[in-house]
Amino acid sequence: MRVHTREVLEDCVDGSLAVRYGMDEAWTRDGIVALAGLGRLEYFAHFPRPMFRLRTGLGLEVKAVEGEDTCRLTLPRNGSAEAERQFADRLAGIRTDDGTKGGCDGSQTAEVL
Amino acid sequence: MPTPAEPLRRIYMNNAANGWPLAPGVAEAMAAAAQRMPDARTGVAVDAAGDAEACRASLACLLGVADRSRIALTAGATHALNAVWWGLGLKPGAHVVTTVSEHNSMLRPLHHLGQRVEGLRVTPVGLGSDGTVDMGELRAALRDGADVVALNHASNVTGLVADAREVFQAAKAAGAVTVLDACQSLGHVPVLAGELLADIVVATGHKLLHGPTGVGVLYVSQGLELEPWLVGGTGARSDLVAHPPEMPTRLEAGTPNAVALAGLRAALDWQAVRGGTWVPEACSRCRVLRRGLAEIPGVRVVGDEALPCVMRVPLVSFVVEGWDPEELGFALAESFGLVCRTGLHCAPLIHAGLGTAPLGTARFSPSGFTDDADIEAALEAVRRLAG
Repeated sequence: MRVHTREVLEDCVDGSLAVRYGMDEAWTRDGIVALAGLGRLEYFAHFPRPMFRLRTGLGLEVKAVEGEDTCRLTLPRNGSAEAERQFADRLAGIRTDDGTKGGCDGSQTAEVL
Repeated sequence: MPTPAEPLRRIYMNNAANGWPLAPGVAEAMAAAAQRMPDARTGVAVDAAGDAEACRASLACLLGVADRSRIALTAGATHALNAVWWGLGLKPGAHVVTTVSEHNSMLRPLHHLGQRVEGLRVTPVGLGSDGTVDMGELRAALRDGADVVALNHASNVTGLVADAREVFQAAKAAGAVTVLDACQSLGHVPVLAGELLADIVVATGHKLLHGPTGVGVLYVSQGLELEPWLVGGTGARSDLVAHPPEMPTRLEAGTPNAVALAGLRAALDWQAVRGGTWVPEACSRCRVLRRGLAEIPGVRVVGDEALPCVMRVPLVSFVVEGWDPEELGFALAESFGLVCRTGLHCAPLIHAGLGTAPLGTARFSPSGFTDDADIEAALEAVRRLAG
């Protein structure tokens, strides 16, 4: 998965940097699962539109909806460049062209990966 | 290929920020105004003056004032509040007492003024046990003397309505001018300026009135005059070098927003007919929402500790364990289709007293257009997120 656009968003709260990535393809379950290992990944497959949130070890927070081709990042105050680079590198290694669709396996709680 | 996300039914729960949909007739009135040929003399549509006067008449009824000329129509509440603070002519060393519930549209002009008026003191009074104004703290602040007491009538974070008359009685006893921010209350609770002892009332067209953005209300009581903050063309009295001094022209420089005025007129007309039933429906649905949220484990409804007799406008702030408000807003919007606001809500000072600093809250604000299915969908979404 590659990042096509990077848009800085205005955040209400503490001025922390919020960024939206436009990707070259939509998120799939496989793509989401591939983010595990970067930090704490929660996959909410039971939501009407499944989504995930990721908190990386470098303090980056990422949220996205499965099936959408964007994600929202909240960068840490310190080390934001490194945190963002780590995430972008992981994205570049994700291949989602097998068409696998995720979705709910019947559970009603978040899957922590 | 990955399949796109399923489309969601969007449910709008952010009326405290911007009332949506517009009241019936508003969009049509605005479209008609946009098509009208401008008057050769004034440069605005022929009926614009009629719309403005109709708005003043309706607002005079809502505010309980006899002289509609004391109501200026501005570009918005922020514009109106700037006109207040720059127009009051505060001297060096002046003392303004306000509250921690204030919106940035009140706080920021005060801050800006403080950088230009030497020794200006601003005292924000904290929350009382009823979640509104700490009257003990207010009286203590007033013992130092005060030039102005400014109050947010209804908090856009908690929905609680302050006892403005009690606050302004204390203010008047200290000899202060009283300023009421009624942006979150006008249209839902009585805002009778005389009854509340408010010298100045500011409101907006685009929240609980479900009118358009771009129009605000500034009422200044007889006997008090604000120095014009903005002067210029008025479409009349071109012979005058100085800006005309009489109200409302005194505070209405520039070409009016004729389209927005037409919209506000339509909104006020609709409110006059339907407000009596529509407002209680909004409050009733918000009560269901508030009670439902309070029953969800892991959810704290903010301001729920208020005494039952404290009036509320239809909004409810809450926090969910394990979710930052911003994340909550994302999930509610993107996974559940619920449009709501999260964060500090432009009211930065109140959160310390509510225990919701530094990240703020999520906020649902239904309206009379919100139906029971919307309320249940909102509750179900929060149950899933909290679970």
